[in-house]
Amino acid sequence: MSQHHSAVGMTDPSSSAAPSDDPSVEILHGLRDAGVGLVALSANNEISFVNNAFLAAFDLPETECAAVLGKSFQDVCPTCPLPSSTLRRTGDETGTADAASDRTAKIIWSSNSAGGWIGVVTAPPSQAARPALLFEPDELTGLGTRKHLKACFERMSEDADRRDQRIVALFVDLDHFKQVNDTLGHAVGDGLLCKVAERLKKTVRRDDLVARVGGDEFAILVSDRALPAAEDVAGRIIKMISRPFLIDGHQITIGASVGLAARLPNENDPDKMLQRADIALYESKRGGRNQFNWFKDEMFAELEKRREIEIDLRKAVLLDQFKIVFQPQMSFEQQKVSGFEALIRWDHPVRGEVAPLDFLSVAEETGLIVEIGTWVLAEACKTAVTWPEDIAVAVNVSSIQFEDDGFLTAVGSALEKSGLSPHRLELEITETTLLKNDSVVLERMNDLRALGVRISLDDFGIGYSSLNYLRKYPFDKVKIDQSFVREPFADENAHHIVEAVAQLGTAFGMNVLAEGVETVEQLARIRQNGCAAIQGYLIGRPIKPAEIGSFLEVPLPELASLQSPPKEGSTS
Amino acid sequence: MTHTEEDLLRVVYFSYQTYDTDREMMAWEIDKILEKSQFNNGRFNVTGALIFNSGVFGQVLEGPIDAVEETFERIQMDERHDHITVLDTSRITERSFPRWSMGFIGSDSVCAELFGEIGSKTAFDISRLSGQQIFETLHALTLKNEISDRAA
Repeated sequence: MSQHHSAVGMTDPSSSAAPSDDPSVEILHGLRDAGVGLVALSANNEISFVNNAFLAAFDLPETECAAVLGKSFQDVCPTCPLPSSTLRRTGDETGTADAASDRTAKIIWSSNSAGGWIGVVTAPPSQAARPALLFEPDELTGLGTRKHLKACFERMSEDADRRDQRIVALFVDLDHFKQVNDTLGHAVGDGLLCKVAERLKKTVRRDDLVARVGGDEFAILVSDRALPAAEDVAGRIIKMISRPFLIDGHQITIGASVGLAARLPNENDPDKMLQRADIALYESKRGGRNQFNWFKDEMFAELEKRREIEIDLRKAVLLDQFKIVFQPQMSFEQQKVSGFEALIRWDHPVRGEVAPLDFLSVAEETGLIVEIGTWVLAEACKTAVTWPEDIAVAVNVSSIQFEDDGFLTAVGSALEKSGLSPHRLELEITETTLLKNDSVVLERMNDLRALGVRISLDDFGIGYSSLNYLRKYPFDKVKIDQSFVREPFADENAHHIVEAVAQLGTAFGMNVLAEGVETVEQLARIRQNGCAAIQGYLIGRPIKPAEIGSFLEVPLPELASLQSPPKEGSTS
Repeated sequence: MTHTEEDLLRVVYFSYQTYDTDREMMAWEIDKILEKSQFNNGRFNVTGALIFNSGVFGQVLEGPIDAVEETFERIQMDERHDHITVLDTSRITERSFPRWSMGFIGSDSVCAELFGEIGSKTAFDISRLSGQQIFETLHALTLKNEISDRAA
């Protein structure tokens, strides 16, 4: 069924990977992968050579050629009479023997000088009735295409039904492939795809089928009696693809996400199965990549919901359904509002107010975040320019938006069109952005700072929260995540962390702000811990732009409690 | 992506042994790895050095870019090691290990002596050496002719 793919690779991968200069090895490889079934027996009827086609003709595809070497022919093919029992050995005598299998593959035997036999399978009915599948390889990788996969699926289905096996589709997508293409160019990207294809071929088992079904997408059909076999294959693929690649002198590390879906009873079209595997793949991507997931029915519903959100999101941009609200931040030193964080709101005519959590991830996945983010940036600057000169505006920037080629222009244009002076604009990025290519991120940060814009590290404390980020990147501000500030999450240890980050950030010349301050007690503690600013319901909830003027006119009631800050000796 | 003979690439990586065997088996396995490496690398014009200690392999590969990359790829498919970390890749004009395919720095007594300085700094942990350190160490060792080319 998949002989095109299983050529080489049935033994030690490291020995078969390289083209050989030794002609006898070449010949051996050729015989092993020949389309005609061959077997050689020693004088005592042990198998001294056998190839894939022979085993396939006797319906033994699960067996490794190497595994039956030296075994008694009768044990391996009990249905096939031994040549020595049916033929007399007189010189070069040849004769045929019928395998007693229901499909009666015929073997022509020829005795050899060493007293053994060479057997050639002639026109096994299964092969005769099933002409070779048309194989048009994918031009780049030489793997089969989606078309070939479909053809193979039909055959595999027939075999699987007969042998009581299950077929599983693995949908494999490379993580971070686009970045390779973007940063190192398409030639390197193509080279990577070829090496990935090779690794996949060597990682799957002999009868599994590997096809390239999209740019950086591969599908594998695994047929086995038990479903966990497919999990083994998926796990191995993830492991092998995550190992480093060397392409054109560049070291490249990517990953693979895999989705698995089993063939349903009597399912004869692979498209639906591949689609299910693709949905499961999507779950693996969302789950953090470098993992596999089985398809589950509820994934359909979830996907459907997100698709609807996506459709509505596209309209929302055009229909002007987004609004921005602003949440105040207070500086301890100035003892007044020092800035506002711009937060997006989506008021859908039918859905009502959609929570940012529900639509921002969809916006990121679809790339719509770039368009939405650009709008927020422009709108926030336009609003902020109407505020007093010493009040800044903070705008969240998604990692996808940050990496977008047009981001620098978008920032420049938002500043220019609004007339807001750059130092009043703070861009908040999260560590997701920092996990990408260091030098690219650093360069972008420096470009932004050259515009005069300030940059904050948002949600610090959750995720990796490497202290190295504080050292490596030129942040103006660090925002400590609210989980370190608010009960019930914030315990004694959390307080120590806040204090440590406050000290460290301050030492690096950063302004340290604590998020989520809701009570006067929290405020007092945060201040004592050494933070320079706070944000949270205590200072104010997010408000509409029209309300900002009056909000600023009323002094913050909590400030009364700040007139005599508790110091307790920590005056460093 | 074709390169001429003059385009040389040097790769330094380390990885962890995946199997757990006794000392004798280990030596035998390493011999096999070496034998195969020397055979393959000699054919492809790839040279380099292999260091092994306490379950960690460190390796330098040098040669024409395509050949080094092919060799590297073959190594990646090997199940006997895992957690492969590339420490350094650089274009070079001259080989630092020109004469032999692959050497082996074996058991501890030789290492302890030769790695004395690094050993004390790193608690004898190859994985904590930088690419440059592994490279320099191996290079110094070959110059001293201290490596027993066991599989030769």
